[in-house]
Amino acid sequence: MCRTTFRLSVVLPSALAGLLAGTAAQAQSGLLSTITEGADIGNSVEKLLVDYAKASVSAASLASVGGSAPTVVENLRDVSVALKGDTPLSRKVFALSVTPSRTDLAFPRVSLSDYATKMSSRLIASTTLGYAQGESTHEKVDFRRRAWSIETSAFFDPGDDPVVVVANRDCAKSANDVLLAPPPTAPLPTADGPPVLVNVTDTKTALLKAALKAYDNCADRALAEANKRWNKSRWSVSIATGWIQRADGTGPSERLGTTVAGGVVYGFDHMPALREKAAWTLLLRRSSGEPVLKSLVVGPLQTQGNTLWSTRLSGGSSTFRGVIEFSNKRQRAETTSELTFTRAFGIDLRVVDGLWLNLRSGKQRRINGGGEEIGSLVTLSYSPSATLKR
Amino acid sequence: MPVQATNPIHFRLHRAGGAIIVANASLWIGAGTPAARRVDAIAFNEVLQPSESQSAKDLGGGTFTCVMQFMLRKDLNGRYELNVDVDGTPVFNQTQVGDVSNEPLKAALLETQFDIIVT
Repeated sequence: MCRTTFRLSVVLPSALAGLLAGTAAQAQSGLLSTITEGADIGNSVEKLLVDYAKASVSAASLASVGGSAPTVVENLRDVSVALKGDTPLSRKVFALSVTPSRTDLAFPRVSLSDYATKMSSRLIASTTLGYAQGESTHEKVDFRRRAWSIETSAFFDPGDDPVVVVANRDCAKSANDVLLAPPPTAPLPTADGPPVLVNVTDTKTALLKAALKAYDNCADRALAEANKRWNKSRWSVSIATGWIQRADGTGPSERLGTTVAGGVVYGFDHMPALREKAAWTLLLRRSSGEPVLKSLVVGPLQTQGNTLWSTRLSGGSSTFRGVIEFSNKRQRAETTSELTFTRAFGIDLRVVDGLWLNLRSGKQRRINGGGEEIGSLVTLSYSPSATLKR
Repeated sequence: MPVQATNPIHFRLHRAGGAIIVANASLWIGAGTPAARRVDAIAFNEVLQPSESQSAKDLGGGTFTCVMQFMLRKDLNGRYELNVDVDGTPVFNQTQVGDVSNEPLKAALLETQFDIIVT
């Protein structure tokens, strides 16, 4: 028997997605329609974003960790909001993530120089808090879920970080060339008193805009060069917890347990032959104390832990690559509508910036739990804020 | 209030915060007169350096008018802190602090002017 599923998906805070998707005994359906919006980070915002969508399909997501997998975090926004369309097993999903250090509040404050030189500063500046909520149905009973998460991520080599790439590029020289280029107007004699710093943005707007444009052009070139390498080595960790309760309010609110996830992408930095051609990804997710949903319906409450790992080898370019994926997925299929691949191969194709087409085929657990079957999955992943200008 | 310095003039820019801080200093003689001319321009381009030193060329002695520009741009965040020393003497009484996050361009251009007496 062969099954093909189509999916339109995007981006939830990854640590939350697994919890919202349910316990180990239940996962999200794959039919999703999601919109993610958010102001991004850095001076030229979306230009500093690494395309998130390309990581949205992994063996882990195929293994029904949830609507989104504990992917290696690639893309930071200061604030992002995700809304997910109703699916057979989830409704009214709303998710919000905030990276406080990159908001206007800038708390905790991280300086650019510290960010470029200290891993600890990069982790603080990338720490993201998430919240999500949604509803699901199990055994004909509606449940309401809420979850919180905290996650952070970093590139192994700070020189791969887009923020550092631009700052290192001497784009300031381009800006200064503009600022100093106009025929100098002689200053008036200096006024008495101590020097004061005056904001002349309003009176010299054209000059500022020209300098910013020169800076941007330089930054664009720097990022274009940096982005030729799609497989930069990076890692991320996340922890999440949540609560579940019957939607009608009867019954106690139960903890969803605790989920810890980590991921590493290795871009074969030390192997010149593969350095721009391949990436190896390892994802680990450990959950503990998750209630079995069936026991929430009929009691007594049972909890269980689950460890999932998945690995993926990708080879190709920044726009097209082939992948092989494996996982230790042994989920109980009788409560899982997610297609479940234990091993798969496929391709990722970038249609345009932010829009990825992912094809997978491989072995999966039968939905009725009776052995394996061959399945295929077509996913269209879209990350709007990676392509839209503010 | 002029700043005392020796030839060549040494500048040190102190910067902090999550904003990009690009700066330059133009040195003039004869400010306010028809004969005014710029005699040197110094750029501060090392945006990742919390402290950046630059020296003017050999200008000899005299009184120079220094006009400094600071282009601030939101990057990691919009916060900025800056000060300038001329031969070890702070130009501002205290570190200049602000945030460009709420500026329409997420950026700002600031200027200051002071005299330097070179001996």
